Amino acid sequence: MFKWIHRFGSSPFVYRTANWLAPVFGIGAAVCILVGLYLGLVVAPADYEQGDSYRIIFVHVPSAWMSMFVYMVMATSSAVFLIWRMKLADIVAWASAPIGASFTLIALLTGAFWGKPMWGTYWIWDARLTSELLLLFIYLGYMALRSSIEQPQTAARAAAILAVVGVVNIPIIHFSVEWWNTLHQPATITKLDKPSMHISMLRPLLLMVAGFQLLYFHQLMVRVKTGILQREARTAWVAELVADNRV
Amino acid sequence: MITDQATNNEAVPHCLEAVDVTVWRGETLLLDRIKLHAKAGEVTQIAGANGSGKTTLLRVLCGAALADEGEVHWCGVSLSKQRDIFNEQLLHIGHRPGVHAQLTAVENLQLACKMGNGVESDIDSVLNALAILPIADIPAGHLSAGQQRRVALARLALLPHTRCWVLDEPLTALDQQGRDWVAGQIQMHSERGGVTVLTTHQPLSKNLSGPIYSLDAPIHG
Amino acid sequence: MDSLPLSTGLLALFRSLLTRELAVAIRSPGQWLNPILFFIIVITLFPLGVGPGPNTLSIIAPGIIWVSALLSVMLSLQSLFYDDLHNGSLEQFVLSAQPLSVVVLAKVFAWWILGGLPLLLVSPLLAILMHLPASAIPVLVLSLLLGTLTLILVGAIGAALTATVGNGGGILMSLLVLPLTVPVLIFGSGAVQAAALQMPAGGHLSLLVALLALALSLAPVATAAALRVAVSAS
Repeated sequence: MFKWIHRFGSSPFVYRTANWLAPVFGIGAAVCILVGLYLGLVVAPADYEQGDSYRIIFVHVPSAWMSMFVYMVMATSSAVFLIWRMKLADIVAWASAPIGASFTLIALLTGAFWGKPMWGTYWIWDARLTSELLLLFIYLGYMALRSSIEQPQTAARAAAILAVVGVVNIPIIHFSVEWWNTLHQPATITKLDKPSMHISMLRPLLLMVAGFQLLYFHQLMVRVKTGILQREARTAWVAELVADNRV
Repeated sequence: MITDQATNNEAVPHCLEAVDVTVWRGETLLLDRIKLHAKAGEVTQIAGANGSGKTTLLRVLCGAALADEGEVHWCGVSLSKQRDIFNEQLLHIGHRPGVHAQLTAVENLQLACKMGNGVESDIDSVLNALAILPIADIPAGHLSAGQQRRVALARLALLPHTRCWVLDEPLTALDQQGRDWVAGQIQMHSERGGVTVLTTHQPLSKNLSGPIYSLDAPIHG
Repeated sequence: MDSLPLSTGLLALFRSLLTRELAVAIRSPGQWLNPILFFIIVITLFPLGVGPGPNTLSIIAPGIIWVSALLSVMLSLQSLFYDDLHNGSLEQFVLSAQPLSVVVLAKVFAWWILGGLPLLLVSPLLAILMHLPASAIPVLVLSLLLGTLTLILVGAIGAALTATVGNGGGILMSLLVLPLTVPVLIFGSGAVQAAALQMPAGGHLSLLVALLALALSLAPVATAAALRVAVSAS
């Protein structure tokens, strides 16, 4: 049933679609992020408790959200790859990993920058930041496993299993870290999440979330194109593309 | 279920088929659209120089490795649709013999019998026929290559109910007596209506006839 | 097939696989002796590094003992499938009609007897060295009993995924598995901390049981899938 997509023949179609979608997503992302940043950094008023430092949530919250979202995409496409051996699904998982890891790293760094004025220290073992750090390790493990197995087919299947195992584990890790945090942390610390938000702050935040989402899709399309070219380097249609200088 | 009928009905002769099996090893095409048809009662031989992909083809045929393109059929049904049914019928002796160095010949074979519903009570007589009964209680790691090979090959006699034999160089490291024993087992298996696919660099006994596929010149049907 | 009923057959298979693993291990004692020595040595390093004050030690003891147990299990697990992959046994297991997850469970259980059980046995001694209150020792042993089984089950997935990776496979395996073992560490050391503070540890322990149940049902399936991949690549 899924044979058609599993065939080499469908790759040119996917490649062309990705080629067409990449700039569309790219422009959408740029518009959302620029407008979002303007509304968030210039228009929105300063917070009466946190001053201007709260504005980092316009980057922190979308990237934290994307770090989870990208992992879900990765795990879902890995499962699809394992069940139906659909090569495109593996390319999506392969393409998503470094993007997701980057979002995770941005979430961690912005969390730390926010921590300095708020807590007086760059790092605090807050439940969210700790979960985010562990998520980064899981992303890095996925990429390390992929790069240390030479045979691409084996690497793909092993990495897919790891991604699926990870998705079962992430909620458990998250829950256990929350539990651990409530036991060890006095509850008085201001949390980075859920500030009661005024509409002037909510609007740029939602725009930034949409922008980051589109940014991910843009990056994904670019990397999917690369992935297809790498895997299909030996086929005639890629040779044609290269000959015509259209890559 | 169709699969059950196809494989359990003894009236249908068993057969193992490769349909356009293609395997890439990195950027090189190792197996190019291989077609192969191994029939019941025949010994199908795969010939080819070192590195021509014989071992890979055998591993794909028994389901240990996956083909990039193409399929393997057992009795007309794809292996991927009847894993367990096929595995019950399969006896594979690979490039690596599957003999644990820290276990004795008897211990190794006892487990092989448990895994494959073999006849455990026959182990001593089979080891005797293979002339390795006196060393059956020594960890296999201390045995010579030929003796270890014999331990692996003892499975041929212990799992006679299997219908599909896939043997990678079964004659390697064996002396004349050992080769005769293996040839005898294969002949009995063929007479029982079994399928045999093997690779070898040694000449097989004359009683064993069947098609020879060469991987040196590409096979296209 | 004229074989035994399925469940009895599988049980007999499990038993003979277990015997096989134990026989192999007894003939190469380094396999089970080294991890336990590692566990003891790592723990004795902490008083040397942190200072011998009984108060400090008793505070950090649950964490130290648990982290050391975690590392010792991970180090020993690297070679869980190595021999069987390289001598072709794993290929035979994959190509047999028997369920691969039974093979995995037998190996895991044998490994626990050799690599987990000794940790439990020496842990009271180490608890005394680390000035952990005597009242916490039963909870420590119980938490290690539940936790090490889960660790080995999860670690087996990593060992199977990295079985074909030659040099550096061991460190890679730890990279993959250690983040996944965080819940076990949290609840395991949490139980001991609670017990040391004279608080009930039942909540932690029952969560450890839940983790074990989850790992028992899912990890063998994932490990079996990873082993099929490893065999197809070897």
